[in-house]
Amino acid sequence: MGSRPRVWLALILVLLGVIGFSLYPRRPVEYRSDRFLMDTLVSIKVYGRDDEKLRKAVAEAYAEMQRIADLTNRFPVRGTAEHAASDVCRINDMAGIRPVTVDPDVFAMLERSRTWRHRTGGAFDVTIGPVMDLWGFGGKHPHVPKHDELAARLALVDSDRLLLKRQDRTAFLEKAGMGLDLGAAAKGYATEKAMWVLARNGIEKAIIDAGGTIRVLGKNAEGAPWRIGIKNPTDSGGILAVLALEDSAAATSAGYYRCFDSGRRRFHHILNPGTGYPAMENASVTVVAKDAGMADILSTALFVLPPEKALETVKKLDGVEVFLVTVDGRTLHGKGPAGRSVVQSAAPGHHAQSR
Amino acid sequence: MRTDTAVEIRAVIKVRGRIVRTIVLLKDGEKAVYQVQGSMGRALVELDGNRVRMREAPCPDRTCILQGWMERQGESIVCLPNQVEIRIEGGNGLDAVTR
Repeated sequence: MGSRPRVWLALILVLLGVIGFSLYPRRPVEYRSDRFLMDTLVSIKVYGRDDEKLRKAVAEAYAEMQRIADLTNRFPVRGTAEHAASDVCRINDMAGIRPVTVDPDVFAMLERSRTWRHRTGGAFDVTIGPVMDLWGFGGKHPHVPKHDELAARLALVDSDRLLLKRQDRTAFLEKAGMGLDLGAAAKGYATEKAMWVLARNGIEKAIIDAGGTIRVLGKNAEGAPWRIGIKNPTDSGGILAVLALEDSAAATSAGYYRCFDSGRRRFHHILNPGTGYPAMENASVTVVAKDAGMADILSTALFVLPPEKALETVKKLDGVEVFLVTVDGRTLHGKGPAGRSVVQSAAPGHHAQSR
Repeated sequence: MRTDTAVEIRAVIKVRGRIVRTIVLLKDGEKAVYQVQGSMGRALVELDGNRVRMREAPCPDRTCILQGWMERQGESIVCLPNQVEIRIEGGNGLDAVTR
């Protein structure tokens, strides 16, 4: 009968094992999804315990981005459902005619865009539409416009003549021919809103990569800050530096996208609202900020400014950091008050100059 | 910074969201050119040891080719017209790249 206690012991061990296993927290699961949205590939990666909840949250986040995309789409053909659903199309159609009631998110984007225009001395202007059209960016055959044509269109770029009435939530372009282009604001705004949707669904760990505009929530899968590389804008390619981000956003504006060659020069789509020509002093500008919408707008605005002016502007902006590469190959770094440095490491051969 | 070689790094090539080829990236590894049939036509993906690039593509804007070489986790080249995507995965590298 000596084997009895052994049987009991074995049974107890098995029971303890079962209890222990059921109490042990399940490993967090990763759910990742990609979708084409706003002319780019948007990747959302989330972490949590419940796969079903993660899927639902991500689907809602994409739906929110799609909604912002539809509201701000500038290119649908008149008479289509897409055209009717776009606040930007309706505002542009009614330029010089009458104010249009818009979605609260579109109103918020327009108000913020105007604020940033003031704070950056006019380096950012959402009424750039007529000049963008003249260059043909967004179409199949972009080209360098004639100087007098450009001058005529440039006269229509003026955010002071964009009337926003908060009590009615209306927007009005005062002069016929004026046109909004939210191309530099909508993607970041939509990314930020999508992250709010994820957070509202109880998600604490997520990354959204909207064609290089990045927003992170919490820390990464290893429990460390997310490691975000900055693409080297020069021909050698690769990564220029690595940012360590938590609960913040990074956006880059660079001359290597949507560009074309004419004569011996390369022209890209980031236009200076003051001249109507592409801004030519910077090769790329990366902005780190709390909010993806702000990072997106600021990267464009600072790209347009001369490098020294861009660094000067950032000095006054709380929690903002900029990483800038000039066309002559200088790598500059600047930050505002309360902006702790998130540059984790720089690639060999590049020496960031802190300002 | 370039010490993240503990785990293998791969380039994953997708057409219309489907993986068509996975290439392991190795420093001083082989050079090769891979043919990929996209929605518009033939694309060539070039491997040079631990880096890859889109070498040829039938798309009109050639944005994918202009992006040049990539080698770090999180980097990707997406050719929208031809629906071909190359993404670097694995390694202990980056979560994403801002561009």
